[in-house]
Amino acid sequence: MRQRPLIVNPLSPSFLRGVRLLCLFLLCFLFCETAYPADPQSEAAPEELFKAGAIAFQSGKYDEAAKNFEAVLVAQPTGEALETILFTLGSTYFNQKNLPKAEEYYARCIKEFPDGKNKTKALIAISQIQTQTGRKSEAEQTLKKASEGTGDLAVRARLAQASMLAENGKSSEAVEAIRPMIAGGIKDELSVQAAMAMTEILSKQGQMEEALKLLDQLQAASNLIDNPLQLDMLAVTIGDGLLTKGDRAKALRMYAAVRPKQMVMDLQRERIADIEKRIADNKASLQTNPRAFMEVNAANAQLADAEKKLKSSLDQFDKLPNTEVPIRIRQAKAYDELDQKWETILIWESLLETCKDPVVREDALFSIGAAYCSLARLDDAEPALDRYVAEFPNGKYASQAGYLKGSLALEAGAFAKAETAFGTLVEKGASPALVPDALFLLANSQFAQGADPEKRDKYKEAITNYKKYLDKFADGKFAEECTYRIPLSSFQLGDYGPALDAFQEYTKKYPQGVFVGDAGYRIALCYQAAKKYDEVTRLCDEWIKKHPGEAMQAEVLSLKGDAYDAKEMPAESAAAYRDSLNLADNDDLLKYSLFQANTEYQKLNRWDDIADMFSRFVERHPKNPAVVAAVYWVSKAKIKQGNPEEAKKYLADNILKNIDDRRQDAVEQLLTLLAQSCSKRPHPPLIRKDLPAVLPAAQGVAVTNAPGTNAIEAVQAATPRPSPTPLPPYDAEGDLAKYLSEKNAGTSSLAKARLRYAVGQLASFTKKPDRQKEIMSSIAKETPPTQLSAMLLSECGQIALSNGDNDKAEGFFKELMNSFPKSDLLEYAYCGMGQVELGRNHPEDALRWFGDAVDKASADATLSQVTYGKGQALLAQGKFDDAKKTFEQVAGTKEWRGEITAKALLSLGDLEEKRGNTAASIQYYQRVFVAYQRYPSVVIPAYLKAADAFIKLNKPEDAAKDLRDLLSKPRLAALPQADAARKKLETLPAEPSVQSPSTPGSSPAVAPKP
Amino acid sequence: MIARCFRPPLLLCGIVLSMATTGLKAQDVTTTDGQTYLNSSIRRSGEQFFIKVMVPGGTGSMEMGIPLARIAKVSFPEPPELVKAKAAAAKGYAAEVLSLTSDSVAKQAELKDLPGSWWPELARLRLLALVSEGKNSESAELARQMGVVKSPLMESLSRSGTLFTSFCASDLQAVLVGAKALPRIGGGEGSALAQFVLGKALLLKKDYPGALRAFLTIKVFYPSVALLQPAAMMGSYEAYVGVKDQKRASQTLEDIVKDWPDSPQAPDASKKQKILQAPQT
Repeated sequence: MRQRPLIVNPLSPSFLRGVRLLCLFLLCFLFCETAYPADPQSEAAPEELFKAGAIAFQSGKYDEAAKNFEAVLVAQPTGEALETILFTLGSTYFNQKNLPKAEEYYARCIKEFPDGKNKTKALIAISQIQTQTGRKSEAEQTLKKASEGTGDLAVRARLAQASMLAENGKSSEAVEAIRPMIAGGIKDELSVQAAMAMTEILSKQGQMEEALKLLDQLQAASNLIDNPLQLDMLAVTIGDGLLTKGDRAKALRMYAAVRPKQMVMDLQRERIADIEKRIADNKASLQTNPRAFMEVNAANAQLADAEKKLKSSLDQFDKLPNTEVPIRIRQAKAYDELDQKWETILIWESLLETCKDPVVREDALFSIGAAYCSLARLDDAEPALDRYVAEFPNGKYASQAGYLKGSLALEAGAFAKAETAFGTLVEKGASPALVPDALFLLANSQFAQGADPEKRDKYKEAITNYKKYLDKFADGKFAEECTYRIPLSSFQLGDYGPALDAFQEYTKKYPQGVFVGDAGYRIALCYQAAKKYDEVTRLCDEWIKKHPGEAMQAEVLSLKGDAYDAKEMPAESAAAYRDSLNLADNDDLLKYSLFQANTEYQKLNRWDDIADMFSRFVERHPKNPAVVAAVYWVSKAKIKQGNPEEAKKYLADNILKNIDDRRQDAVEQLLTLLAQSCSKRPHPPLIRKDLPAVLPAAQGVAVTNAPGTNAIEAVQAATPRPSPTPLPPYDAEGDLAKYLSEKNAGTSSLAKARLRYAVGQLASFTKKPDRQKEIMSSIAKETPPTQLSAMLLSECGQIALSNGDNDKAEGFFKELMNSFPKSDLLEYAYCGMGQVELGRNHPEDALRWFGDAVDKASADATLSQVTYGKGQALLAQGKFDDAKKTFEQVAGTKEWRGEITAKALLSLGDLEEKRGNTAASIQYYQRVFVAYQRYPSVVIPAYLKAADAFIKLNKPEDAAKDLRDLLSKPRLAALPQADAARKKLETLPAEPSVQSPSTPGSSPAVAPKP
Repeated sequence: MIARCFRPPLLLCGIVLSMATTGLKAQDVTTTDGQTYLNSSIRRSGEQFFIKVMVPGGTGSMEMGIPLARIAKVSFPEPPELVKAKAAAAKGYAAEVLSLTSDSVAKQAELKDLPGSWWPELARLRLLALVSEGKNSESAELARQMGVVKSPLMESLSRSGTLFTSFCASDLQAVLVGAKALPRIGGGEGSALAQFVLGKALLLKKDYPGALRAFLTIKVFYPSVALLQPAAMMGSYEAYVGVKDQKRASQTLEDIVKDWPDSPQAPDASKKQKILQAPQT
């Protein structure tokens, strides 16, 4: 592909056409206006001569033109007429290729008219002559002079000068010459040319940053650019330069600027059509204004010239190969190298849309699949690779495609799919390089499936294929792993005998092998399975000696603890677990060893060790999820040791460590624990049986413990037993305040809120629900959401929700989502937001939030609420079938049985009522008050709704019967909601028949109002 | 005689040529038949424009009505705020673009479809800035006004910008259909904007891969539409979170903060970044 010249030749045919046109106009004008104004009799001869010269010039008959123009000169014109004829003669000789003569006339023109209007044009022409005659430095100087003028020509001269400087290796000077031309921005053809020239020079100089900026500006002004190809080529050149430098991100920006060929051509056609329309419009305007024909002709001549240029570049562009494909491929590769796989996919897809070349298509299809594999998107990668295989079954990437499918499935845990993919590769004979890997991965995918209890036999298939691998590729890169995985498969199958033999064989064959530590551990496990505990402890000790400091040591110690435990040696077992605990590096093992040691210590009644172990654990793993349990055990141990105050203090100390850190969820759990500890009066300390027998000082009697008796017995024997003094009422809040108060918690909003939360929890433990509600409401009311922890946000959101303050609830839930995106409590926020939207009667939004609760927060604890909420939203949308299905799901899930079941049944009743099926609705309402009396907030509405339904069915007696049933239950009748039932009942018929003889005339069913 | 006959048109021609070389002054009005009225003030009444010109000698002025169709060009001077707005737009500084274009877009609205008016350029920047700031209803309204200007760019921006009307009304299906009617690649700023609205709609529909494609199309194929970049990147972030690609989500936030520090999205991205980096219990 050839580029257009850097700078437009100032004497290019198109330029000269313009000059000619201008000359003609000027000459006509000057001759008419200036040269012969006084003597009309003498006008004819020079005018005729000039006209003849002009006609000859236009026909390319320069000899004849020169003759005529020389004749005009002989007539001794003066002023502008002389300047014009001198310049015209110069141009005529220039076209005649008589360069000395041309230079002579141009020079005379400049000399005699140093400020003449043709000065710049003449200078440009002279520079051209100097260039053609090898006088480059003179030409450079002449252009410099020309560029000092004003107007378009001076600008063109500067461009030409810059081009010359660049060609002569003076790039910096060239840039400085051009820079002023674009200082005011890119707004016309000349500034476009200048910017393009400068961009190219800068890119050649390696000044990519500045070139990039200019190119951005050029792209923004693409409507001014006649030759879009030139712009595209610049972008590619700069892009390639940046790519070579390794600056992929910037290179990509450049490549992105290259527009599709068709689009460029369409744009060019649009511009041509626009010019044609303007020409036609101009011509049409002559109908109304015929006197304007000179201006219209001049304007149309310019437009026609522009149109010709556009058409020429369009033709040139059309013949060139499409640059889009190679550029897109460069882009795709650059994005791939930047690990921006989605972007890679977009580029390849754009190629698939536009390019029919099978080579490109094959690359594109495979690359898309491969990119999806890198993104671990099984669902997208699989169809992409399938599409590749379908279009290119024997393509160059066929084996890789199959291999990728298998690997992806393996990584995604779709082991059956992986087995199929690798199995096909092995069967069909993949490319030789891939067969060993495929066979190994086939066995691995079978091994992985064996973990499913229903597919235990897959271990056997895995063993077969591992063995096959060893037969075929005894020295293959996976030979050692196959040797290890064979006994591992047997081990998983519970075939400890063969497993033991094969593990031992492995350790023999690979004494320094990668899996030797694991094999040793599993050998010990085989003995454990065989209940040979002495062997296990021996092997564990050997292992520890052989592999000191290895990662598996904690596991081995834990196994040793298990063996001692089986041997009922709790002290040794506890010691092994403690050692394991000190080395464990994963949460599962930490937890296992910690609580196993705890069990062993309890057997030994070693509460000091328990307290010590858990205290150390809390110190070493302050962020571990087991910390709360550990603190609990420490405090319990302290209570067991007779130090309840110390236990509470320990809890309080742990709380105070993080009371101002809203990200520590454990604080609320510890607060609950402390509140629980403070909720009951502490027991008096137990007197140990082996305590030295000293009586309380108040009694003033010292009793020496006789051998064989204990202190208590001694005291009992010595003193009469007084009747117990009643204890003063226990002040739980006062007790809590001893450990946690504003004094030690501080005055931050969060600390205050947490303190109140503890008091609220205490109120709950001491069965004061109203007090608890009051305290929690005060937190919600007074603390800004941005100050609260995740737990408090969730709680406050629920409180605001129950108070019907949806906006406030939204504030808490949104803060929980925004500030704790990884919190386990996130599901409460999503579920709460669903309820907020339900409260606002926005069922569509509610559904979205409930959906998010499941999709984004993996709702578990709130799943029943979420499902019920979905049902409510569907009901509000009038989607009765879907709503019914959802409510039935809630009502039918055993694990959720409780208040939510009652609510679902009530909603089912509402649903039937809305459908106009009143009889069916009654059945649901009755189910609520028959089976869920425990939930008055649901049961009372069920009674009322059932009554309404009966009234609607014109069965007032049945309605009254249900209401009487409600009011006959003292617990329900005492609630304020029961008032509605009383009022309704007054409007219904009184109970017929049996009248109590003792209370004649009264309504026995109506319970007294509390 | 011949010369005398030709004098008037030649004089006119001379004027036209001299104007062509010296450049038109502020609010010089050129009609389709080549007539030019210098230093005129202009006002609009329906489809008619009234041009006020000084009578020769400067003794008074006269006003004449010209239909819109007859005006070839009005040489308004480029508003200085437009130059500044362009610079701010290149940095993705939407707030500054909005502040710079607020008055001019309102005041010049009357002349929006006049050839040579700077209103389309100002409105184009303002529309993209409004979108970047998430002012969807205002974007839709401005896009509707832009539809009056007959140029491919304005028409395409108007089509895509008015998709916000459907978006605000939660008519996501209409957004999907409307956005897909514009070319995805090679369609200029209008297409970039359409992809942006499409991405937002797909996010709401929880089609995260689809949303990601739409937002990344702006990054990959329209990198020069600077005002949309940070907003599209924020959309990509949400889509990455949706497809559970935390690594790329986090990287996108980092890129917003690093590459578009003055964008409206940068503070939010920075906050989210800190939250993602903070250890959670």
